[in-house]
Amino acid sequence: MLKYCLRKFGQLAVVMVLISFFSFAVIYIAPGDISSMYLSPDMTEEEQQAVIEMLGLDKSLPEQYLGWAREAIRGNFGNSLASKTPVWPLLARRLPSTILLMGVSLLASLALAIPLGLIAAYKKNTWVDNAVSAFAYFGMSIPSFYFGMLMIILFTAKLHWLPSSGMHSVGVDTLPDTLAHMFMPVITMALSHMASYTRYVRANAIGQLSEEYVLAAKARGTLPGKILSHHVLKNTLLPIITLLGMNMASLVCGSFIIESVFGWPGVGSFAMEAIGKRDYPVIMAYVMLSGAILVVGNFTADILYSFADPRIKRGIDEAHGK
Amino acid sequence: METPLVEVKNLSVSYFTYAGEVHSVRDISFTLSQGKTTALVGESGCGKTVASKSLMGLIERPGKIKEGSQILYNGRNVLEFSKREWSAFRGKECSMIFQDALVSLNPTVPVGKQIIENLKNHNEENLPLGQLRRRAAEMIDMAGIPDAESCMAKYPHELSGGQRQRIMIATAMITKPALLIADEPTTALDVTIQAQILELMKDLQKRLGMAIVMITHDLGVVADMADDIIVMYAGKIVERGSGDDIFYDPRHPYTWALMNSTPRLDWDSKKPLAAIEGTIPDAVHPPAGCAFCSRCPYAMAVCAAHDPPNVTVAGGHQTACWLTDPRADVTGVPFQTGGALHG
Repeated sequence: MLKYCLRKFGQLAVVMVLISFFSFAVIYIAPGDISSMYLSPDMTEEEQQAVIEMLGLDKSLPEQYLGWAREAIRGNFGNSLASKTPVWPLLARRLPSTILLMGVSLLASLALAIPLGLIAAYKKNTWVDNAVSAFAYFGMSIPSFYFGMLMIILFTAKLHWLPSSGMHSVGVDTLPDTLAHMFMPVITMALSHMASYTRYVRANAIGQLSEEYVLAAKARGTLPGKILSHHVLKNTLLPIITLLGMNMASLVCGSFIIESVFGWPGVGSFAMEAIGKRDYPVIMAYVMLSGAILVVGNFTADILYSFADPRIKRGIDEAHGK
Repeated sequence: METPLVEVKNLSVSYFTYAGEVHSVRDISFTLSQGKTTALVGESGCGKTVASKSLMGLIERPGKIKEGSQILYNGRNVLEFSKREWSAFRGKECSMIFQDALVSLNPTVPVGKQIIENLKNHNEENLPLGQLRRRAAEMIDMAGIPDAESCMAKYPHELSGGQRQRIMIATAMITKPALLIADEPTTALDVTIQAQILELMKDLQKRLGMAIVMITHDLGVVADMADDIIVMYAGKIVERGSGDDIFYDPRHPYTWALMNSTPRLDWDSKKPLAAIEGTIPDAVHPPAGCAFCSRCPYAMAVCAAHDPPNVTVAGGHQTACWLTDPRADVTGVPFQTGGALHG
C-alpha cells in the first residue's frame, strides 16, 4: 500500500508539471499582450521596453515558464495584475468561504442521495421509485443558474425571507446570518449533485439487491432496512467515492455559476473575475490549485476504495507490494 | 404417528414473466419429519429450489405462491405470516444454506459479523455482544475451522471454498433451527471437501437434532444423507419414499432412468452410460397428462391425456405413474410397477 501511495505521488508530480506547462503555453499563445496592463500611452518607447524587460515578456516561452515554475515551486505565484498584490493570499482568503459552501452542499447532497437511492432501488418500479426518479431528473435537467434565480425571486423578491447575495449582511457576523445567506446557494448546489448521486446509488443498489448474499441475509431474518444499511450500502459506495474524488476539486475551487449568481465571495467568483480581467498570474494559480486537488481527489478515492471493498486492497497489495 | 414438522399441502408456485405464466411448482404435497433428512431430487428447473424457497417465504416477484397452497409448520400456516412473524421465523426456526458460499456471503463484511447477524436478529434474551461473539466462535469451532477468533475477522475472499461453506453452515446453524434447507450445499466443492461438509452436516444434525431438506441432483449425496427421498419432475412429485425404496425399488420410469444414468463403480466401465433422451417440457404450457410421457419409453395413450394419480405402493412409498394401474401393459418394463403385479 505504501509503495502504491509513493508511486501515485510521483504520478501527481508529472501531471502537475504537464498541467502547468500547457496552461502556461495557452496563455502565451492567447491573443493580446500581458504588458498592456502595465503600459500607458504616455510612456516613451524606452520606458515601455523597460517595463516589458522587467516583466520578462521579451524572453522565449521556455524561459518564461521556467522562471514562473521556479517561483511557483517555492509557493510564490506572483502578483495579481489587477490588485498588484501577491496572488496566494488573495486566493487563500477566499478558500474558507468556498470550502464552507461546497462542503455543506456536498454533505447535504450525500445525506439525501444515499437514502433516497437505496429506497428507490428497494422499491424498484413502484410509485416511490418513480417519484424519486422524477425528482432526480428534475434536479439534473434544471440549469443551476436558472434554479438559483427562481429561488431568489421566490425567497428574496416575493417572500423577503432570505438575502439574495453575499455571505454576511453588512456589519453582521453571526452564525444565523451566515446560515441565512448560505441557504439558497447550498440548496441550488446540492440539488444538481444530489440528482446524479441518487441515480448512481439507485442503479448500483438494484444490482446489489439481486445478489445472492442479500437473499442469504433475508433468510437469516434480517429486516429490509438492515439489509440496505448493513449489506447493500457498503457495496454501492464505490461509484460514489469515484464521484466524490472528482468533485473534490470543486470543493476548493468553488463553482463559477453558483458563486456568481449568489455573489458568494469564494474562489470561483474570484477566478471568474480574474478571467474577465485577464489576470494571468491568478488564472495560473487557480488552474494549478484545481488541477492539484483533482489529482489528489482521485488518488484519495483510490485509497478509499480499499476501505469500502477489502478485495481491492488485496489487489493493490498484490500488484505493488505492501 | 408423530406429527410432522412441516406439512406442505397443494403447493403451487408460478413465475409471471413476459413469456407467460411459468408453472414452476404444480400442486405438490409432502411432509418433513423432525430430525430426519429428506432429499429433494430432480434435474435443473424441476422446481426443487422453488419449492424449498417457498418454505422460507423467499419467493420474490415475479414469483407467486398460488391460492390454495398451504405450508404448515408445527401446525401453523406460514403463508399467512406477517412480516414480523416471517423475520422471526427465518433464521431461527428455519435456516438455509446456499449453493455457492462465495456469492452468498457479503464480500465487504467480515464473516464473523455475518454469523453474529443471525444471532442478533433473534436475540430475544438481549445477550450482550461479547456473549454473541463467544457463541459465534464456538460455532465456527464446531464447524471445523481452526482458530475461530482470527477467522471471524476475515473477509470471505480470504477463506478457501470449503471454509466458506463451513461458515455458511455455521451461520445457518448458530440459532439451532428445527429445519435446515440445504440447496446443493456441495455442488461448488470438490469431492474430498464435499465428503467433509456432508460429514459435518450429519454430525451437527445428530448434535442439534434438526430436520434437513437436501436439494441436490447428486445421487451419491442422496445415498449418503437421505432418510426420505422426494423425486421431482417438471414441477411435480413423481415418486417419494424412503432411501431404500427409491434406490432399490423405483416405481416410476423417471426415477428408474435417473438411477441408471448415474455411473457406478461395480459396472463395466466400457458400457455406455444411459442418458434420458429429450428435454423437460415447457413450464409455460405444461402438458395435460404426465409431464414425463414425452421422454418415457413405456408411455401409453392415457399418459398424454390424463395426469396420473398418486398411488401408494407400500408404506410411505408413493408414485404417480399410469403403469401402476392394473390395466396397464407392463411387458418389457425392467422394473416393478404396481404393488401386486409382479408379486
